[in-house]
Amino acid sequence: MHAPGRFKKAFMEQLLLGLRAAGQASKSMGLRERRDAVRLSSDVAMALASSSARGAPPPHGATASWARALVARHAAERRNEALLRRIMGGAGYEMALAAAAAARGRKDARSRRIVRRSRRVLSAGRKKRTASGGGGGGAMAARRMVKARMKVLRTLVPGADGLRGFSLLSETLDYVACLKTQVELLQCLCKGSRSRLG
Amino acid sequence: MESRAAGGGDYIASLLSSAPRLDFGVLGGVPGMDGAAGDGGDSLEKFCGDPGFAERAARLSSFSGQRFAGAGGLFGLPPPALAASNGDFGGSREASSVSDPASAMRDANAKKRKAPAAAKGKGKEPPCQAGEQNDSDAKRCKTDGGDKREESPVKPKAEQAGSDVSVEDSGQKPGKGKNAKPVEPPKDYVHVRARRGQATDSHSLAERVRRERISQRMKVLQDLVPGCNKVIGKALMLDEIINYVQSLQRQVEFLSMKLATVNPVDFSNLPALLQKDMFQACGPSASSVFSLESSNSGFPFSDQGDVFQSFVPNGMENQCNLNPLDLALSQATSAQYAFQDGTPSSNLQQRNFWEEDLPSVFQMDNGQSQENGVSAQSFHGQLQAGHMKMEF
Repeated sequence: MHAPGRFKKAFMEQLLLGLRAAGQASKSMGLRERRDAVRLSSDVAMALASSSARGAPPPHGATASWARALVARHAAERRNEALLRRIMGGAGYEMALAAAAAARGRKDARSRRIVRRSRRVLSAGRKKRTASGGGGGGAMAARRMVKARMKVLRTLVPGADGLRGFSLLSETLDYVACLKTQVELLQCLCKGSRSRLG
Repeated sequence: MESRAAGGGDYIASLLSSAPRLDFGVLGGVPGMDGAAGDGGDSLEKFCGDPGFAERAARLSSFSGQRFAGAGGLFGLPPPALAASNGDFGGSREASSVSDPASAMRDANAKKRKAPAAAKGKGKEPPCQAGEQNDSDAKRCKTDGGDKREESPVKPKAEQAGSDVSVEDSGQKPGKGKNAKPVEPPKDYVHVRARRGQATDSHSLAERVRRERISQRMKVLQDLVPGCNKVIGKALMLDEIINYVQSLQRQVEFLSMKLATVNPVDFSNLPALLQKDMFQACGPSASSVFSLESSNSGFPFSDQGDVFQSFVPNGMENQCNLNPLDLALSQATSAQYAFQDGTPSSNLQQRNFWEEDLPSVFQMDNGQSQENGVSAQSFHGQLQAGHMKMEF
Protein backbone atom coordinates (compact mmCIF):
# COMPACT_ATOMS: atom_id res chain seq x y z
CA MET A 1 0.00 0.00 0.00
CA HIS A 2 1.29 3.38 -0.81
CA ALA A 3 2.80 5.62 1.75
CA PRO A 4 0.40 8.43 2.33
CA GLY A 5 3.02 11.13 2.50
CA ARG A 6 4.36 10.22 -0.87
CA PHE A 7 0.93 9.94 -2.26
CA LYS A 8 0.03 13.34 -0.99
CA LYS A 9 3.06 14.89 -2.51
CA ALA A 10 2.59 13.24 -5.81
CA PHE A 11 -1.00 14.23 -5.73
CA MET A 12 -0.24 17.82 -4.93
CA GLU A 13 2.31 18.12 -7.63
CA GLN A 14 0.14 16.59 -10.20
CA LEU A 15 -2.71 18.71 -9.07
CA LEU A 16 -0.77 21.91 -9.40
CA LEU A 17 0.40 21.03 -12.83
CA GLY A 18 -3.03 20.02 -13.89
CA LEU A 19 -4.51 23.17 -12.52
CA ARG A 20 -1.98 25.19 -14.28
CA ALA A 21 -2.81 23.45 -17.51
CA ALA A 22 -6.45 23.99 -16.84
CA GLY A 23 -5.85 27.59 -16.08
CA GLN A 24 -4.11 28.08 -19.34
CA ALA A 25 -6.92 26.52 -21.22
CA SER A 26 -9.81 28.12 -19.53
CA LYS A 27 -9.13 31.77 -19.66
CA SER A 28 -12.58 32.49 -20.91
CA MET A 29 -14.69 29.66 -19.63
CA GLY A 30 -17.66 30.06 -17.46
CA LEU A 31 -17.69 29.12 -13.86
CA ARG A 32 -19.13 25.70 -14.35
CA GLU A 33 -16.65 24.80 -16.98
CA ARG A 34 -13.86 25.94 -14.81
CA ARG A 35 -15.22 23.90 -11.99
CA ASP A 36 -15.34 20.87 -14.20
CA ALA A 37 -11.84 21.49 -15.33
CA VAL A 38 -10.67 21.74 -11.76
CA ARG A 39 -12.46 18.58 -10.83
CA LEU A 40 -11.07 16.78 -13.80
CA SER A 41 -7.55 17.79 -13.10
CA SER A 42 -7.86 16.84 -9.47
CA ASP A 43 -9.30 13.47 -10.35
CA VAL A 44 -6.57 12.81 -12.83
CA ALA A 45 -4.04 13.94 -10.31
CA MET A 46 -5.46 11.56 -7.78
CA ALA A 47 -5.45 8.67 -10.18
CA LEU A 48 -1.94 9.22 -11.39
CA ALA A 49 -0.55 9.88 -7.98
CA SER A 50 -2.15 6.83 -6.52
CA SER A 51 -0.71 4.63 -9.19
CA SER A 52 2.70 6.08 -8.80
CA ALA A 53 2.72 5.99 -5.06
CA ARG A 54 1.44 2.50 -5.02
CA GLY A 55 3.57 1.20 -7.80
CA ALA A 56 6.88 0.74 -6.12
CA PRO A 57 6.27 -0.80 -2.73
CA PRO A 58 3.54 -3.38 -3.27
CA PRO A 59 3.80 -6.17 -5.77
CA HIS A 60 2.67 -5.85 -9.29
CA GLY A 61 -0.87 -5.76 -10.40
CA ALA A 62 -1.85 -3.68 -7.45
CA THR A 63 -3.00 -0.72 -9.44
CA ALA A 64 -6.45 0.17 -8.36
CA SER A 65 -8.96 -0.16 -11.09
CA TRP A 66 -10.84 2.83 -9.82
CA ALA A 67 -8.01 5.08 -10.90
CA ARG A 68 -8.09 3.94 -14.46
CA ALA A 69 -11.84 3.92 -14.56
CA LEU A 70 -11.95 7.42 -13.18
CA VAL A 71 -9.66 8.76 -15.82
CA ALA A 72 -11.49 6.78 -18.46
CA ARG A 73 -14.73 8.26 -17.30
CA HIS A 74 -13.35 11.71 -17.80
CA ALA A 75 -11.84 10.82 -21.10
CA ALA A 76 -15.14 9.61 -22.40
CA GLU A 77 -16.47 13.12 -22.55
CA ARG A 78 -15.33 14.83 -25.64
CA ARG A 79 -15.11 18.29 -24.24
CA ASN A 80 -12.40 17.26 -21.83
CA GLU A 81 -10.21 16.09 -24.60
CA ALA A 82 -8.02 19.14 -24.89
CA LEU A 83 -7.35 19.44 -21.23
CA LEU A 84 -6.74 15.77 -20.80
CA ARG A 85 -4.39 15.73 -23.67
CA ARG A 86 -2.47 18.51 -22.15
CA ILE A 87 -2.25 16.95 -18.75
CA MET A 88 -1.57 13.41 -19.69
CA GLY A 89 -0.05 13.75 -23.04
CA GLY A 90 -1.45 12.44 -26.26
CA ALA A 91 -0.39 8.90 -25.60
CA GLY A 92 -1.96 8.89 -22.19
CA TYR A 93 -5.14 10.28 -23.57
CA GLU A 94 -5.31 7.57 -26.18
CA MET A 95 -4.86 4.99 -23.51
CA ALA A 96 -7.58 6.57 -21.48
CA LEU A 97 -9.89 6.36 -24.45
CA ALA A 98 -8.99 2.75 -24.96
CA ALA A 99 -9.70 2.03 -21.34
CA ALA A 100 -13.04 3.76 -21.60
CA ALA A 101 -13.99 1.71 -24.62
CA ALA A 102 -12.90 -1.48 -22.94
CA ALA A 103 -14.87 -0.61 -19.85
CA ARG A 104 -17.97 0.01 -21.88
CA GLY A 105 -17.58 -3.30 -23.65
CA ARG A 106 -17.11 -5.08 -20.40
CA LYS A 107 -20.07 -3.40 -18.92
CA ASP A 108 -22.35 -4.54 -21.70
CA ALA A 109 -21.27 -8.11 -21.41
CA ARG A 110 -21.54 -7.95 -17.68
CA SER A 111 -24.96 -6.43 -17.67
CA ARG A 112 -26.19 -9.15 -19.95
CA ARG A 113 -24.75 -11.76 -17.69
CA ILE A 114 -26.28 -10.12 -14.70
CA VAL A 115 -29.68 -10.05 -16.29
CA ARG A 116 -29.43 -13.69 -17.13
CA ARG A 117 -28.26 -14.60 -13.70
CA SER A 118 -30.82 -12.52 -11.97
CA ARG A 119 -33.56 -14.19 -13.92
CA ARG A 120 -32.26 -17.53 -12.82
CA VAL A 121 -31.85 -16.47 -9.25
CA LEU A 122 -35.23 -14.90 -9.19
CA SER A 123 -36.94 -18.05 -10.20
CA ALA A 124 -34.91 -19.98 -7.69
CA GLY A 125 -35.32 -17.37 -5.06
CA ARG A 126 -39.02 -17.66 -5.14
CA LYS A 127 -38.63 -21.26 -4.26
CA LYS A 128 -36.18 -20.32 -1.56
CA ARG A 129 -38.39 -17.79 0.02
CA THR A 130 -41.40 -19.99 0.22
CA ALA A 131 -39.28 -22.72 1.71
CA SER A 132 -37.48 -20.74 4.38
CA GLY A 133 -40.32 -18.62 5.56
CA GLY A 134 -39.96 -17.21 9.03
CA GLY A 135 -36.58 -18.20 10.40
CA GLY A 136 -34.74 -17.51 7.26
CA GLY A 137 -36.65 -14.34 6.59
CA GLY A 138 -34.38 -12.25 8.72
CA ALA A 139 -31.31 -13.67 7.08
CA MET A 140 -32.71 -13.08 3.68
CA ALA A 141 -33.56 -9.51 4.53
CA ALA A 142 -30.09 -8.86 5.88
CA ARG A 143 -28.53 -10.40 2.86
CA ARG A 144 -30.72 -8.42 0.55
CA MET A 145 -29.86 -5.24 2.39
CA VAL A 146 -26.19 -5.90 2.05
CA LYS A 147 -26.58 -6.75 -1.59
CA ALA A 148 -28.49 -3.57 -2.23
CA ARG A 149 -25.84 -1.52 -0.53
CA MET A 150 -23.12 -3.21 -2.48
CA LYS A 151 -24.96 -2.29 -5.58
CA VAL A 152 -25.09 1.33 -4.53
CA LEU A 153 -21.42 1.21 -3.71
CA ARG A 154 -20.71 -0.06 -7.14
CA THR A 155 -22.35 2.94 -8.65
CA LEU A 156 -20.43 5.25 -6.40
CA VAL A 157 -16.96 3.88 -6.75
CA PRO A 158 -15.69 4.21 -10.27
CA GLY A 159 -14.59 1.09 -11.97
CA ALA A 160 -15.98 -1.19 -9.36
CA ASP A 161 -18.72 -2.52 -11.50
CA GLY A 162 -17.71 -6.11 -11.81
CA LEU A 163 -16.31 -6.54 -8.38
CA ARG A 164 -17.79 -8.58 -5.64
CA GLY A 165 -17.37 -8.78 -1.96
CA PHE A 166 -13.78 -8.57 -0.97
CA SER A 167 -12.44 -6.79 -4.01
CA LEU A 168 -15.25 -4.32 -3.88
CA LEU A 169 -14.36 -3.47 -0.33
CA SER A 170 -10.74 -3.18 -1.32
CA GLU A 171 -11.50 -0.74 -4.04
CA THR A 172 -13.78 1.19 -1.79
CA LEU A 173 -11.07 1.41 0.77
CA ASP A 174 -8.57 2.79 -1.68
CA TYR A 175 -11.07 5.13 -3.13
CA VAL A 176 -12.14 6.47 0.22
CA ALA A 177 -8.59 7.07 1.27
CA CYS A 178 -7.80 8.90 -1.93
CA LEU A 179 -10.98 10.90 -1.76
CA LYS A 180 -10.09 12.03 1.70
CA THR A 181 -6.70 13.13 0.48
CA GLN A 182 -8.24 14.88 -2.43
CA VAL A 183 -10.56 16.83 -0.20
CA GLU A 184 -7.76 17.78 2.07
CA LEU A 185 -5.54 18.95 -0.70
CA LEU A 186 -8.28 20.93 -2.33
CA GLN A 187 -9.04 22.58 0.98
CA CYS A 188 -5.43 23.35 1.41
CA LEU A 189 -5.26 24.94 -1.99
CA CYS A 190 -8.35 26.92 -1.30
CA LYS A 191 -6.98 28.22 1.91
CA GLY A 192 -3.69 29.00 0.32
CA SER A 193 -5.17 30.91 -2.52
CA ARG A 194 -7.62 32.66 -0.29
CA SER A 195 -4.95 33.86 2.03
CA ARG A 196 -3.20 35.34 -0.95
CA LEU A 197 -6.18 37.09 -2.34
CA GLY A 198 -7.85 38.10 0.84
CA MET B 1 6.59 34.47 8.91
CA GLU B 2 5.28 32.65 11.87
CA SER B 3 1.96 34.38 11.72
CA ARG B 4 1.74 33.52 8.12
CA ALA B 5 2.40 29.97 8.85
CA ALA B 6 -0.29 29.97 11.43
CA GLY B 7 -2.71 31.35 8.91
CA GLY B 8 -3.15 30.11 5.44
CA GLY B 9 -0.08 28.06 5.33
CA ASP B 10 -1.15 25.84 8.10
CA TYR B 11 -2.45 23.08 5.96
CA ILE B 12 0.32 23.41 3.52
CA ALA B 13 2.90 23.48 6.23
CA SER B 14 1.46 20.42 7.76
CA LEU B 15 1.25 18.87 4.38
CA LEU B 16 4.85 19.46 3.65
CA SER B 17 6.39 19.27 7.02
CA SER B 18 6.69 15.61 6.55
CA ALA B 19 9.19 16.35 3.86
CA PRO B 20 12.13 17.57 5.89
CA ARG B 21 11.96 14.69 8.25
CA LEU B 22 12.01 12.33 5.38
CA ASP B 23 14.81 14.31 3.93
CA PHE B 24 16.87 13.59 6.92
CA GLY B 25 17.45 10.05 6.01
CA VAL B 26 14.66 8.62 8.00
CA LEU B 27 13.72 8.08 4.44
CA GLY B 28 15.74 4.96 4.44
CA GLY B 29 13.54 3.68 7.15
CA VAL B 30 10.17 4.77 6.03
CA PRO B 31 10.13 3.15 2.65
CA GLY B 32 11.89 0.23 4.13
CA MET B 33 9.01 -0.11 6.46
CA ASP B 34 6.59 0.37 3.68
CA GLY B 35 8.33 -2.06 1.47
CA ALA B 36 8.63 -4.60 4.15
CA ALA B 37 5.10 -4.18 5.14
CA GLY B 38 4.07 -4.33 1.56
CA ASP B 39 5.50 -7.69 0.88
CA GLY B 40 5.72 -9.13 4.31
CA GLY B 41 6.27 -12.79 4.50
CA ASP B 42 2.98 -13.72 5.99
CA SER B 43 0.27 -13.36 3.46
CA LEU B 44 -1.98 -12.15 6.16
CA GLU B 45 0.35 -9.24 6.28
CA LYS B 46 -0.48 -8.69 2.68
CA PHE B 47 -4.01 -8.15 3.69
CA CYS B 48 -2.77 -6.00 6.45
CA GLY B 49 -0.84 -4.11 3.85
CA ASP B 50 -3.89 -2.15 3.16
CA PRO B 51 -4.94 -1.73 6.73
CA GLY B 52 -1.34 -1.03 7.41
CA PHE B 53 -1.78 1.95 5.20
CA ALA B 54 -3.87 3.55 7.84
CA GLU B 55 -1.37 2.70 10.52
CA ARG B 56 1.53 3.90 8.52
CA ALA B 57 -0.35 6.95 7.53
CA ALA B 58 -0.85 7.78 11.13
CA ARG B 59 2.75 7.12 11.86
CA LEU B 60 3.89 9.31 9.06
CA SER B 61 1.49 11.94 10.05
CA SER B 62 3.21 11.97 13.36
CA PHE B 63 6.06 13.64 11.58
CA SER B 64 4.00 16.67 11.05
CA GLY B 65 3.66 17.16 14.71
CA GLN B 66 0.20 15.70 14.76
CA ARG B 67 -1.39 18.50 12.95
CA PHE B 68 -3.24 15.92 10.98
CA ALA B 69 -5.16 15.27 14.06
CA GLY B 70 -6.55 18.73 13.73
CA ALA B 71 -7.27 18.00 10.12
CA GLY B 72 -9.91 15.67 11.23
CA GLY B 73 -7.89 12.60 11.74
CA LEU B 74 -7.13 12.23 8.13
CA PHE B 75 -6.33 8.62 8.42
CA GLY B 76 -8.64 7.94 11.23
CA LEU B 77 -6.15 6.96 13.86
CA PRO B 78 -5.88 8.66 17.19
CA PRO B 79 -2.86 10.87 17.62
CA PRO B 80 -1.97 9.72 21.10
CA ALA B 81 -1.22 6.36 19.68
CA LEU B 82 1.49 7.94 17.65
CA ALA B 83 3.26 9.63 20.50
CA ALA B 84 5.52 6.67 20.99
CA SER B 85 6.30 6.27 17.37
CA ASN B 86 6.97 9.94 17.07
CA GLY B 87 9.79 9.70 19.50
CA ASP B 88 11.23 6.78 17.66
CA PHE B 89 11.07 8.30 14.28
CA GLY B 90 12.03 11.75 15.23
CA GLY B 91 15.10 10.65 17.02
CA SER B 92 16.61 8.10 14.78
CA ARG B 93 18.24 8.86 11.55
CA GLU B 94 19.38 5.42 10.66
CA ALA B 95 17.37 3.28 8.37
CA SER B 96 17.94 0.25 10.46
CA SER B 97 16.95 1.80 13.71
CA VAL B 98 13.84 3.24 12.17
CA SER B 99 12.77 0.11 10.47
CA ASP B 100 13.09 -1.79 13.68
CA PRO B 101 10.50 0.08 15.66
CA ALA B 102 8.53 0.33 12.45
CA SER B 103 8.57 -3.37 11.95
CA ALA B 104 7.92 -3.90 15.60
CA MET B 105 4.91 -1.67 15.36
CA ARG B 106 3.88 -3.35 12.20
CA ASP B 107 4.06 -6.72 13.85
CA ALA B 108 2.19 -5.44 16.81
CA ASN B 109 -0.43 -4.04 14.55
CA ALA B 110 -0.60 -7.22 12.61
CA LYS B 111 -1.01 -9.16 15.78
CA LYS B 112 -3.64 -6.74 16.91
CA ARG B 113 -5.43 -7.28 13.69
CA LYS B 114 -5.17 -10.98 13.81
CA ALA B 115 -6.40 -11.10 17.35
CA PRO B 116 -9.53 -9.10 16.70
CA ALA B 117 -10.19 -11.18 13.64
CA ALA B 118 -9.92 -14.30 15.69
CA ALA B 119 -11.87 -12.71 18.46
CA LYS B 120 -14.52 -11.77 16.03
CA GLY B 121 -14.72 -15.29 14.87
CA LYS B 122 -14.92 -16.47 18.43
CA GLY B 123 -17.44 -13.86 19.26
CA LYS B 124 -19.61 -15.00 16.46
CA GLU B 125 -19.71 -18.52 17.65
CA PRO B 126 -21.47 -18.07 20.99
CA PRO B 127 -24.59 -16.69 19.42
CA CYS B 128 -24.65 -19.67 17.18
CA GLN B 129 -24.36 -21.95 20.06
CA ALA B 130 -27.83 -21.05 21.06
CA GLY B 131 -28.71 -23.05 18.06
CA GLU B 132 -30.72 -20.37 16.45
CA GLN B 133 -30.47 -20.24 12.79
CA ASN B 134 -31.56 -16.73 12.38
CA ASP B 135 -29.94 -13.36 12.39
CA SER B 136 -26.57 -13.86 13.99
CA ASP B 137 -25.94 -17.10 12.29
CA ALA B 138 -27.45 -15.85 9.14
CA LYS B 139 -25.31 -12.82 9.32
CA ARG B 140 -22.30 -14.95 9.18
CA CYS B 141 -23.75 -17.15 6.53
CA LYS B 142 -24.81 -14.20 4.54
CA THR B 143 -21.23 -13.17 4.06
CA ASP B 144 -20.75 -16.57 2.59
CA GLY B 145 -23.80 -16.26 0.49
CA GLY B 146 -22.74 -12.90 -0.70
CA ASP B 147 -19.31 -14.01 -1.67
CA LYS B 148 -19.60 -17.58 -2.63
CA ARG B 149 -21.87 -16.84 -5.40
CA GLU B 150 -19.68 -18.67 -7.75
CA GLU B 151 -20.16 -21.88 -5.85
CA SER B 152 -23.84 -22.48 -5.99
CA PRO B 153 -26.16 -19.59 -6.11
CA VAL B 154 -29.17 -21.77 -6.32
CA LYS B 155 -28.43 -23.78 -3.25
CA PRO B 156 -31.50 -23.82 -1.11
CA LYS B 157 -31.16 -21.73 1.93
CA ALA B 158 -31.96 -24.49 4.34
CA GLU B 159 -29.27 -26.69 3.04
CA GLN B 160 -26.74 -23.95 3.10
CA ALA B 161 -27.65 -22.94 6.57
CA GLY B 162 -27.53 -26.53 7.56
CA SER B 163 -24.07 -27.04 6.26
CA ASP B 164 -22.86 -23.91 7.92
CA VAL B 165 -24.41 -24.83 11.16
CA SER B 166 -22.91 -28.24 11.01
CA VAL B 167 -19.58 -26.61 10.48
CA GLU B 168 -20.03 -24.34 13.42
CA ASP B 169 -21.77 -26.74 15.71
CA SER B 170 -19.02 -29.24 15.60
CA GLY B 171 -16.76 -26.42 16.48
CA GLN B 172 -18.72 -25.33 19.43
CA LYS B 173 -19.28 -28.49 21.30
CA PRO B 174 -15.74 -29.63 21.87
CA GLY B 175 -14.20 -26.31 22.74
CA LYS B 176 -15.97 -23.19 21.88
CA GLY B 177 -13.55 -20.53 20.91
CA LYS B 178 -10.51 -22.68 21.34
CA ASN B 179 -8.27 -21.40 18.74
CA ALA B 180 -5.21 -23.34 19.59
CA LYS B 181 -5.77 -26.63 17.92
CA PRO B 182 -3.14 -26.77 15.22
CA VAL B 183 -5.18 -28.68 12.75
CA GLU B 184 -4.11 -26.55 9.92
CA PRO B 185 -3.51 -27.91 6.52
CA PRO B 186 -1.20 -25.51 4.75
CA LYS B 187 -3.57 -24.16 2.18
CA ASP B 188 -1.56 -22.84 -0.69
CA TYR B 189 -0.27 -19.66 0.78
CA VAL B 190 -2.66 -18.82 3.54
CA HIS B 191 -2.17 -20.51 6.83
CA VAL B 192 -5.46 -20.70 8.53
CA ARG B 193 -5.67 -21.94 12.03
CA ALA B 194 -8.55 -24.29 12.01
CA ARG B 195 -10.59 -24.19 15.12
CA ARG B 196 -10.83 -27.27 17.18
CA GLY B 197 -13.05 -29.88 15.80
CA GLN B 198 -14.16 -27.80 12.87
CA ALA B 199 -14.37 -29.21 9.44
CA THR B 200 -11.13 -28.77 7.67
CA ASP B 201 -12.10 -29.54 4.17
CA SER B 202 -11.04 -27.08 1.60
CA HIS B 203 -14.45 -25.54 1.16
CA SER B 204 -15.06 -24.44 4.67
CA LEU B 205 -11.51 -23.31 5.01
CA ALA B 206 -11.85 -21.21 1.94
CA GLU B 207 -15.05 -19.84 3.32
CA ARG B 208 -13.44 -18.98 6.56
CA VAL B 209 -10.50 -17.38 4.87
CA ARG B 210 -12.77 -15.27 2.76
CA ARG B 211 -14.86 -14.31 5.70
CA GLU B 212 -11.84 -13.26 7.65
CA ARG B 213 -10.52 -11.27 4.78
CA ILE B 214 -13.81 -9.52 4.42
CA SER B 215 -14.05 -8.80 8.08
CA GLN B 216 -10.55 -7.41 8.02
CA ARG B 217 -11.45 -5.12 5.24
CA MET B 218 -14.53 -4.04 7.05
CA LYS B 219 -12.44 -3.27 10.04
CA VAL B 220 -10.11 -1.11 8.09
CA LEU B 221 -13.01 0.63 6.52
CA GLN B 222 -14.38 1.17 9.94
CA ASP B 223 -11.22 2.92 10.94
CA LEU B 224 -11.19 4.95 7.83
CA VAL B 225 -14.73 6.12 7.87
CA PRO B 226 -15.48 8.23 10.87
CA GLY B 227 -18.52 7.28 12.78
CA CYS B 228 -18.47 3.70 11.69
CA ASN B 229 -17.37 2.46 15.06
CA LYS B 230 -20.75 2.81 16.59
CA VAL B 231 -22.47 0.63 14.06
CA ILE B 232 -22.16 -3.05 14.07
CA GLY B 233 -23.17 -5.14 11.19
CA LYS B 234 -22.34 -5.17 7.59
CA ALA B 235 -25.41 -3.48 6.22
CA LEU B 236 -25.28 -0.53 8.55
CA MET B 237 -21.59 -0.08 8.07
CA LEU B 238 -22.03 -0.15 4.36
CA ASP B 239 -24.68 2.48 4.82
CA GLU B 240 -22.24 4.69 6.62
CA ILE B 241 -19.58 4.09 4.05
CA ILE B 242 -21.93 4.98 1.26
CA ASN B 243 -22.94 8.16 2.98
CA TYR B 244 -19.37 9.03 3.58
CA VAL B 245 -18.33 8.46 0.00
CA GLN B 246 -21.21 10.54 -1.21
CA SER B 247 -20.39 13.34 1.14
CA LEU B 248 -16.76 13.27 0.11
CA GLN B 249 -17.67 13.44 -3.50
CA ARG B 250 -19.96 16.35 -2.85
CA GLN B 251 -17.20 18.04 -0.94
CA VAL B 252 -14.86 17.61 -3.84
CA GLU B 253 -17.38 19.18 -6.13
CA PHE B 254 -17.92 22.05 -3.81
CA LEU B 255 -14.25 22.64 -3.29
CA SER B 256 -13.51 22.48 -6.97
CA MET B 257 -16.22 25.03 -7.52
CA LYS B 258 -14.61 27.17 -4.91
CA LEU B 259 -11.24 26.80 -6.51
CA ALA B 260 -12.72 27.65 -9.83
CA THR B 261 -13.82 30.98 -8.52
CA VAL B 262 -10.21 31.79 -8.00
CA ASN B 263 -8.93 33.74 -10.87
CA PRO B 264 -7.33 31.22 -13.15
CA VAL B 265 -4.41 33.53 -13.68
CA ASP B 266 -3.57 32.83 -10.10
CA PHE B 267 -2.90 29.26 -10.93
CA SER B 268 0.42 30.21 -12.33
CA ASN B 269 1.25 32.24 -9.30
CA LEU B 270 0.01 29.67 -6.94
CA PRO B 271 3.07 27.51 -6.73
CA ALA B 272 5.31 30.46 -6.21
CA LEU B 273 3.00 31.78 -3.58
CA LEU B 274 2.76 28.48 -1.85
CA GLN B 275 6.45 28.20 -1.89
CA LYS B 276 6.84 30.88 0.66
CA ASP B 277 4.89 28.80 3.08
CA MET B 278 6.84 25.79 2.16
CA PHE B 279 9.97 27.61 3.05
CA GLN B 280 8.96 27.52 6.64
CA ALA B 281 7.80 23.99 6.48
CA CYS B 282 10.83 22.44 4.92
CA GLY B 283 13.59 23.92 6.91
CA PRO B 284 17.02 22.84 5.80
CA SER B 285 16.06 21.97 2.29
CA ALA B 286 14.71 25.44 1.84
CA SER B 287 18.12 26.96 1.71
CA SER B 288 19.11 24.84 -1.21
CA VAL B 289 15.78 25.58 -2.76
CA PHE B 290 16.41 29.23 -2.68
CA SER B 291 19.89 28.88 -3.89
CA LEU B 292 18.44 27.07 -6.81
CA GLU B 293 15.94 29.76 -7.25
CA SER B 294 18.60 32.35 -7.59
CA SER B 295 20.42 30.44 -10.22
CA ASN B 296 18.42 30.35 -13.33
CA SER B 297 19.75 27.32 -15.03
CA GLY B 298 20.94 23.84 -14.61
CA PHE B 299 19.55 22.74 -11.29
CA PRO B 300 21.79 20.46 -9.38
CA PHE B 301 18.75 18.46 -8.46
CA SER B 302 20.77 16.25 -6.31
CA ASP B 303 18.40 16.24 -3.40
CA GLN B 304 15.25 17.59 -4.74
CA GLY B 305 15.66 16.73 -8.32
CA ASP B 306 14.18 13.38 -7.80
CA VAL B 307 10.72 14.70 -8.09
CA PHE B 308 10.47 12.63 -11.15
CA GLN B 309 12.65 9.90 -9.99
CA SER B 310 10.20 8.86 -7.45
CA PHE B 311 8.07 7.83 -10.31
CA VAL B 312 10.83 6.04 -12.00
CA PRO B 313 10.90 2.30 -11.50
CA ASN B 314 13.16 2.43 -8.61
CA GLY B 315 11.63 5.21 -6.69
CA MET B 316 11.07 3.99 -3.24
CA GLU B 317 12.05 7.02 -1.35
CA ASN B 318 10.04 10.02 -0.67
CA GLN B 319 11.47 13.43 -0.77
CA CYS B 320 10.64 17.02 -0.65
CA ASN B 321 9.07 16.91 -4.01
CA LEU B 322 6.94 19.90 -3.85
CA ASN B 323 9.67 22.42 -3.53
CA PRO B 324 11.64 21.72 -6.62
CA LEU B 325 8.48 21.27 -8.55
CA ASP B 326 7.18 24.64 -7.72
CA LEU B 327 10.59 25.95 -8.09
CA ALA B 328 10.61 24.60 -11.56
CA LEU B 329 7.21 26.00 -12.20
CA SER B 330 8.02 29.41 -11.03
CA GLN B 331 11.28 29.44 -12.77
CA ALA B 332 9.99 28.16 -16.00
CA THR B 333 7.90 31.16 -16.47
CA SER B 334 11.09 32.93 -17.17
CA ALA B 335 13.00 30.19 -18.86
CA GLN B 336 12.51 28.45 -22.10
CA TYR B 337 13.66 24.96 -22.63
CA ALA B 338 13.26 22.40 -25.25
CA PHE B 339 10.74 19.96 -24.00
CA GLN B 340 11.07 17.20 -26.45
CA ASP B 341 13.34 15.41 -24.11
CA GLY B 342 10.63 14.58 -21.76
CA THR B 343 8.43 13.00 -24.32
CA PRO B 344 9.86 9.56 -24.79
CA SER B 345 10.31 8.90 -21.12
CA SER B 346 6.89 10.17 -20.28
CA ASN B 347 5.28 7.98 -22.86
CA LEU B 348 6.97 4.99 -21.46
CA GLN B 349 5.89 5.88 -18.00
CA GLN B 350 2.32 6.49 -18.89
CA ARG B 351 2.20 3.17 -20.56
CA ASN B 352 3.22 1.72 -17.29
CA PHE B 353 0.30 3.33 -15.62
CA TRP B 354 -2.10 1.79 -18.00
CA GLU B 355 -0.44 -1.56 -17.90
CA GLU B 356 -0.52 -1.77 -14.19
CA ASP B 357 3.13 -2.03 -14.18
CA LEU B 358 5.08 0.78 -12.74
CA PRO B 359 4.25 4.09 -11.15
CA SER B 360 5.91 6.92 -13.01
CA VAL B 361 3.11 8.53 -14.86
CA PHE B 362 3.94 11.76 -13.28
CA GLN B 363 6.28 12.48 -16.09
CA MET B 364 3.29 13.59 -17.99
CA ASP B 365 3.84 14.31 -21.54
CA ASN B 366 4.65 17.89 -20.93
CA GLY B 367 5.42 18.64 -24.47
CA GLN B 368 2.91 21.39 -24.41
CA SER B 369 3.91 23.30 -21.39
CA GLN B 370 7.29 24.74 -21.18
CA GLU B 371 7.60 24.81 -17.47
CA ASN B 372 7.57 21.13 -17.34
CA GLY B 373 10.19 21.08 -19.95
CA VAL B 374 12.53 22.32 -17.31
CA SER B 375 12.05 19.38 -15.11
CA ALA B 376 11.83 17.08 -18.04
CA GLN B 377 15.17 18.18 -19.18
CA SER B 378 16.74 17.82 -15.83
CA PHE B 379 15.14 14.48 -15.41
CA HIS B 380 16.45 13.45 -18.72
CA GLY B 381 19.83 14.65 -17.77
CA GLN B 382 19.82 12.53 -14.73
CA LEU B 383 18.50 9.66 -16.69
CA GLN B 384 21.62 9.84 -18.65
CA ALA B 385 23.61 10.05 -15.51
CA GLY B 386 22.86 6.41 -15.34
CA HIS B 387 21.47 5.85 -11.93
CA MET B 388 17.98 6.27 -10.90
CA LYS B 389 18.28 6.32 -7.24
CA MET B 390 17.97 9.27 -5.08
CA GLU B 391 20.86 10.68 -3.27
CA PHE B 392 20.99 12.83 -0.31
